Amino acid sequence: MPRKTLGNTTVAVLNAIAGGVQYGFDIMDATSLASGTVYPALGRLERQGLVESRWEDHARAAAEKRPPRKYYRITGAGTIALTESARRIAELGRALRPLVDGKGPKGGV
Amino acid sequence: MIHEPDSRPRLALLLLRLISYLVPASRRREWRAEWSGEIVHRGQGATRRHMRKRIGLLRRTAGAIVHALWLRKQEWSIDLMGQDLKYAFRIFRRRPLFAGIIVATIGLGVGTTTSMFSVVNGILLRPLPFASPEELVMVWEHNLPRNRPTNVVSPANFIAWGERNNVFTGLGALTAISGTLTGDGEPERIGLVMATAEVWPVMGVTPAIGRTFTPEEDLPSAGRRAALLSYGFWQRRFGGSRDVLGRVLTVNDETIEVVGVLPEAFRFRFPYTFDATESMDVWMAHQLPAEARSIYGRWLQVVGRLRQGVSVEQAQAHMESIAARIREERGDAMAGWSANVVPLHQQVVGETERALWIVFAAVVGVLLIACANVAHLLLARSTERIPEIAARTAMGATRTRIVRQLLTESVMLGLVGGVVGMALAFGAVRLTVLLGADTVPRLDEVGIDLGILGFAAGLSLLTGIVFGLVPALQLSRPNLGDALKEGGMRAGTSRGHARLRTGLVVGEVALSLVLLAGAGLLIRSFVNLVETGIGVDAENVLVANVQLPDSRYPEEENKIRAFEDLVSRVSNIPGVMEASAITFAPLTGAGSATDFRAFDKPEPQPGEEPVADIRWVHRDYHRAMGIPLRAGRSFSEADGADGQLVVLISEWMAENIWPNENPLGKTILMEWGDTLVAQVVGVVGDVRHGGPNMESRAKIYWHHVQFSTFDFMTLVARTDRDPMEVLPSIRQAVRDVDPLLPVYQAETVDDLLAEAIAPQRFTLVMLGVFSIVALVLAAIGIYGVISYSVSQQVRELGIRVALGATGRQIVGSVVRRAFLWIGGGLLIGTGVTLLASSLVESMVFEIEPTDPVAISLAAIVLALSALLASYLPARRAGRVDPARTLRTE
Repeated sequence: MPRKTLGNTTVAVLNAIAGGVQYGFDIMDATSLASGTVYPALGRLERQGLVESRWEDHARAAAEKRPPRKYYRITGAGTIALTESARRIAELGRALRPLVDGKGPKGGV
Repeated sequence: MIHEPDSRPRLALLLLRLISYLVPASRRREWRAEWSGEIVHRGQGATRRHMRKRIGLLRRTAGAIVHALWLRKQEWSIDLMGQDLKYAFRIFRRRPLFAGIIVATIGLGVGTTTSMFSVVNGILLRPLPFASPEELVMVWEHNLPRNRPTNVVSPANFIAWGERNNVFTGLGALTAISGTLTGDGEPERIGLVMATAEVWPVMGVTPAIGRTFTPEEDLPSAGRRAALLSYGFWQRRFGGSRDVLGRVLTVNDETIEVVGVLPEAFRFRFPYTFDATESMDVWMAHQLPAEARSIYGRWLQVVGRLRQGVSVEQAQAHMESIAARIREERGDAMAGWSANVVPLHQQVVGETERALWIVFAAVVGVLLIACANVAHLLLARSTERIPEIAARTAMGATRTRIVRQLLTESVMLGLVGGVVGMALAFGAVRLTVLLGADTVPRLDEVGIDLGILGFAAGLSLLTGIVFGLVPALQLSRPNLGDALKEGGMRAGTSRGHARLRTGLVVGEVALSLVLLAGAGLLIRSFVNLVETGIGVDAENVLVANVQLPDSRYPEEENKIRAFEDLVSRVSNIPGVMEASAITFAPLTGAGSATDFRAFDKPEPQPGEEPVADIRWVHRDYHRAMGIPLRAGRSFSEADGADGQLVVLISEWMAENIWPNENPLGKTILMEWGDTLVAQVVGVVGDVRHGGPNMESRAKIYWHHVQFSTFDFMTLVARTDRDPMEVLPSIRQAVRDVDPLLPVYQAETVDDLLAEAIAPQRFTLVMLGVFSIVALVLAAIGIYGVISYSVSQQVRELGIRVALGATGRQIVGSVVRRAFLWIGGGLLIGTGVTLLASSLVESMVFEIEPTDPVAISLAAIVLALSALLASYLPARRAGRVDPARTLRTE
């Protein structure tokens, strides 16, 4: 499958995972994205092979009297994709800079 | 629940459980585990003091819906869908004939059904354009002994009904006539309606501009009549200007004042009209004069609106009791007369209803045949695909996956067929409207709208799903693997399939026979109609109407002289061989009738007097119209105003009033203002005034010089060329007599005749087209079934050839079996045709609805087509090469 450009929310999720945030609900906290956004993004990332998921150790979950949680880790391909996306977004950011600084068209942000 | 001591977030977990059912079953467990792992982890320690936290958790859990739907969508993802579609399109590439036949079949089925449904919807199902149209009725006088249930109403009865009933919110009376508009510009012939003031509230009409007229303006003493213009007339004559309000027009030399314009959608179809244009341009106050309020002379058409909660049956019973009371009060004068309440919709749609439903049934028959074909083709193909499907199943494709792919195929075929069908329907509806525009009521209101398109789309989708599902489910059976072992090719010849195929052929043949026999019946009936005619020689005859206004032709004498003058001028026009005139020409709608007495017969019971159509003619009328003189003489110039009153009577009247007697010299008495006593001097051929399918009736012709009461006549001219060529000269001749007289509704009798039988032609063409479509589809179906069964038997046939059977024997055996099925279908079809024959009884003319000629003709046509359809594959079977077929096994 040809690599597609990752959407901004997907990049945010991937970035959170790369930063060591592993669990779905923790990713929501880290990115301030809604659950209905984060999980489909995780699904997409996993299908593209950019992240992989594992179940945590059952014994540990049992000790805490709760079911086991699923955690996500970034893959090698994920790291590359994240870097590419970061570069793209950075370039976009440079291009958009004038708008933020108020030098752009009238009514800019 | 928030106050629970248990720290597990139960509400969130319950919600999650519910949402989990949205997730595709294969992923549900894992999905639930992942989410509940997070939820429980988060919920831990969030007790009642952490309300905000728990609500946040609930909100996140609710977000699982989005995730679940996303997964569901992935399941039906573009990839898989695209794969399905790619497979489906492969059919078109690999089996273009198969796909083409299915698409064409569904297209024909959906197209014909859709077009006919839009016709039925527009005419029968859509309510009339009035407020609460289901409450509207027409009320008629019902002549019991003469079986005339919808007779026009006398003013006295109309008034009595209005005063005495408690079932209607109101009753209004209408009379459709025609008039001449004079004043600025050319005199113009216009459709004129006299309406009582009650008509407007009864019909619930709100004028486009201005107002309707009031009961006060409807009184005979009110003076100048108030009038409403039809929207079309307002646009045409006055350019839609609002200044028209308050204008005074001159119609039939009487001034009327415009008070309003009717809404654009307002349309009322008069069951009886004296104005064949049916344009109904001006609606003016009726102002029923006191002297007209008699029980004699029936000429009103009455509309009423049922009070809320009153049924038609209740109104009918109530009106009958009122009529009974009036009978008691009036004695003989009302003997035999009752009242009849008819829902307006029924009145408008009338006899068309039965014809339309029959044609619609025919179309449903076509659709059924189409569906049967599609089902068979898909089934036949599905058996061919057993090895493919089995292989895919063996490689791990799930049952859902396979069903989905097969369904995608058949749904796509259905939808492509549906598009073809819709295109077909657009064309067919336009054609239908063109064909029947003037003959079928409300046909001009028929069109294809979104609802109809939805109907078509739904129909094709349904065809695709239903007929794709059966083979799809069969093919995806878990034990399909066995099919592979059996060698695949023969698995489909199971007994169930074979029985289904036989059923399809038998059913198709039976249905087609019913349709073809119906069409054959209508064709024979139509031929009868055309051959019977109406009793006149219709070739090269022109009729044109002239009306003499009272203001300039006040005395009867003036009118007689003017008509004599007109006829003699017209007869002098080059190209005119005969000229004459009549009041109420045949096929022009309205007529006039009254009861009479034969002087030499015993006086009949009140209410049982014989009735005759009354016509006033110029003396050469019968010769000009080609109506044969059966006995005695025709009128002559000697039958003048001062001479002995003489009449001509119709053959039917002679035979029924004086059976086995010579009617010549007999005397008749007729009340018409005065008692008229006249001698019968001649008998002429019957003329069926309303059209070839009308019963002959008694008819009395008066010489207009001796007795006439109407101020209009229809000029009749028989020409030696196209009658329309002499029309300008006739107009000129009329202008020469009086430049202010318009000539209106000039038509050839041939055209009138064609118009009169147009409804029958319409039904005939529709049923004819549909039965041909059915025949073609049935032939395709038979071809498909036989060629499929031949292909299934290649091995068996090969063995037989190897054992010494000749090609002819093989062909013979295939055709013989096909004929067994076809014969079965013909037998069943004949049975159904005979059972259904009573439905068309009222639609056919001078032919038994069980006519053996029509049925056997249909059977022969069908049998020949079926023979051809089964011979082609049989011939292929005859050429089977045993060596090759056996080798392939």
